[in-house]
Amino acid sequence: MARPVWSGTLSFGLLNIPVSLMSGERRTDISFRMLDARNNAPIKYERINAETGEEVPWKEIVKAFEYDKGSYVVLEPEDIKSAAPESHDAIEVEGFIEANAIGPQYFEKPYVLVPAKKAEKGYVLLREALEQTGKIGIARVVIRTRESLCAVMPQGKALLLMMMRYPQELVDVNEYNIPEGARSEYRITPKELEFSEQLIETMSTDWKPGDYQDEFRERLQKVIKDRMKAHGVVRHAEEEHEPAEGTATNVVDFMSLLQQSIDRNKRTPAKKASESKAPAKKTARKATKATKKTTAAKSHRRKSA
Amino acid sequence: MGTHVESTGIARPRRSAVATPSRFTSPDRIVYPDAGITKLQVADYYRAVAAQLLPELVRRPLSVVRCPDGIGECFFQKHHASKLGANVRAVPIREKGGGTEDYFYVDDIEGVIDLVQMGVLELHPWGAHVDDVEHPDRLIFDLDPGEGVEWKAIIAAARDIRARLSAMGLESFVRLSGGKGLHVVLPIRPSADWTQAKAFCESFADAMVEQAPDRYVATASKAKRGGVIFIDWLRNSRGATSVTSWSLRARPQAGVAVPLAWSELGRTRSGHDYPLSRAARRARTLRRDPWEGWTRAVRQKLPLGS
Repeated sequence: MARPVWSGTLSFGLLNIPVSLMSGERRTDISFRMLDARNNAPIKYERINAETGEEVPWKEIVKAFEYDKGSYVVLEPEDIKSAAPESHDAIEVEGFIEANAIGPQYFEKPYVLVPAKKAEKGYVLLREALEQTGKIGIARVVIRTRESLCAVMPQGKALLLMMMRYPQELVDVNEYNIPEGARSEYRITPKELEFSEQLIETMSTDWKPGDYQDEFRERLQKVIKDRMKAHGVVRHAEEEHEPAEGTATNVVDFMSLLQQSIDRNKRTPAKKASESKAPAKKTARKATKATKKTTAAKSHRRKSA
Repeated sequence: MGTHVESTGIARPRRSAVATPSRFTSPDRIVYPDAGITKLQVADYYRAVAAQLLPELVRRPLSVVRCPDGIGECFFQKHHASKLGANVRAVPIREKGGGTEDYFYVDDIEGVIDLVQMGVLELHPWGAHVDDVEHPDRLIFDLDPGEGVEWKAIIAAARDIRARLSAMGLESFVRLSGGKGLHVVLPIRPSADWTQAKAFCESFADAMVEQAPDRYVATASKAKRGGVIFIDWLRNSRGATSVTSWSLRARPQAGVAVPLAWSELGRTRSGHDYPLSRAARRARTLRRDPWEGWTRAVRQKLPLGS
C-alpha cells in the first residue's frame, strides 16, 4: 500500500480519531527529460552566479525576497521558521457547515482519511453523523511546513479530506469582463430560453466518470511506444511513465529478451558447442578466442592505442 | 601508504612469515620509454597501491603480461615456473584438454614485487579463488569499442549494463580498463559453475545486442566492427582472465585499470585517464572505497534458469 502523506489525529470536541492521510489522486502526466540531441546525454542544471558565471555551492546559497526589481532582503532560516506554523499532528475541526455551501473553486486536491487500528468506531461515527446532518467539517492541517485549509467530508464508506484554497488565492470573477445585465437587456425571448432548456434536456445523461479519458496522453503514449519499437531505446527510457495495467506488453522488454536468450542457449549448451556438432556461430567464437590467446602468447600487443 | 580500502572484504593478507625479501635487478631499466618510467618506479607504484590492489588479487590464479625488455616485446604467462620468485606460489589446476598443470598466485605484495622483478606489468587474476577454482565469484563485461565509438557512448553502455543488472537485483561496479574501454564487474556468490556463469553472461550480452543492434555486438568475429561496442562476455570462461583493479597496462601511456564510483564515470574522458602517477595519487588520497557496497554485493546470486 502507498505510504501515508501524514499521520496524526482528526479531532473535534472531545473526539480524537487517529488517522493517516493518503493521497487521493494519481498523476498521470507523461513527463519528458531533456537530452542533448547529439549524444543523448541528459541535460543538467547548475546553480551559477549570474555575475561571475561560476558554480555556487549549496552552502553559499541563501534565500531572499525580491521586494523591488533588483532589490532583495535576505532572510535567515530562523526568520522563515518563526513564521511557519507550529508543527501540528492534528486536524482540528473548527466548525461544521452545509455540504453545498462551498463553491467548487475552493477545493484543490483530494486525500483519503484512513483510520488507524482500533479507531474504526470514531471514524464510522463521524462519517454517519456527517451523512445524517448533510454537513462537512472545516479544519486546518499542517503538512510539512505548510498550513492548509481543508474540508472533511463523507463519501460512500470513506471520509475524504479536501485541501482547500484560501479566498486570497482565488481571483474575483468581477476582475474580468462578465455580462452582468438581466436577460431582457440581451433580448432573450422566452422561446429561445425554452428551446435551449429543451436542448439541454435531450443531451442530459448520467455522470459516468469512466467515460472520460485523457486522450492526448493515450495518443502520446502510443507515439512513444512506436518510437521505441522503431528505433530502440535510448538508455533507460522505461522509467518515463507508469504504464496502465496490461498495456506494457509490446514495449521493448529486456527481461523477456533475456529470458528468450537464456532459453535459446539452454537448447545449445555452451559445453557441447566446443565439440564437433557445434553451430557455426559458436565455433567462430571459439576459434577467434583460441587464436587470440596463441598470438598473445607470442607477442603481446593487443589493442595498442 | 594512504587509506586502507578493503574493497573485497578479504582481510588484507600479511603472511609475512613466509615472505622472503627478493633480489631486485636493473632498477633503472626504462620500462615505458614514452613516459620515462623505470622498473623501480613500477615496483614502487605497486607497493604504494598495495592496500587497494591486494584484496582483489591475492589467492587467485594469475595470468600476467611480462615485458622483460620494456613494453615493446610482451607475452602472456599463465603457468608457474620456479624462476618467478620465492613468493609466487604454485597451484595445480586441471587443464581443459585433460591433465593438470601448475598455475600460480600470490599472497602478498612481496609476491607482486617478485613478478615485477621478472618483468611483469599487467596482473590478470581469475574470477575465482585458488581454493575453489570451479566456482567464479566475479563476472566481467568488458566493453571494447570499435573504431569511431565515442567515449560517451561507452559510458552509456556501461550504465546500460548496470541498469539491466540492477533490474535483476544485481549490483555491479565499474572500472576503467587502463586501455581503450571499461569493465563492468559483477560480484556473485561462488555457487554457479563456469558453464552456468558463462551461459548467463552470453545470454545477457545477446539480449543487449538484440535490444540495440546498432550499438552493440557480442560476437568476437564482429568485435572490430566500426561504430559499435563489443560486449566481451568471453572473459567469463573457465581459465579466461581480465586485468585487475590498480594493475598497470603494457601500453605506451602507462595507463592503470582504476575502479570508479558510478558517480565518477561521467567525468572520465578515456579508459586510460589514470596514468601511473595519477593513479598513485588517487590511491593515496582516496577517502572512501569507490566500490562501496561490494561486501554486500558478493552475496548476490545469479538468476539461473527459471
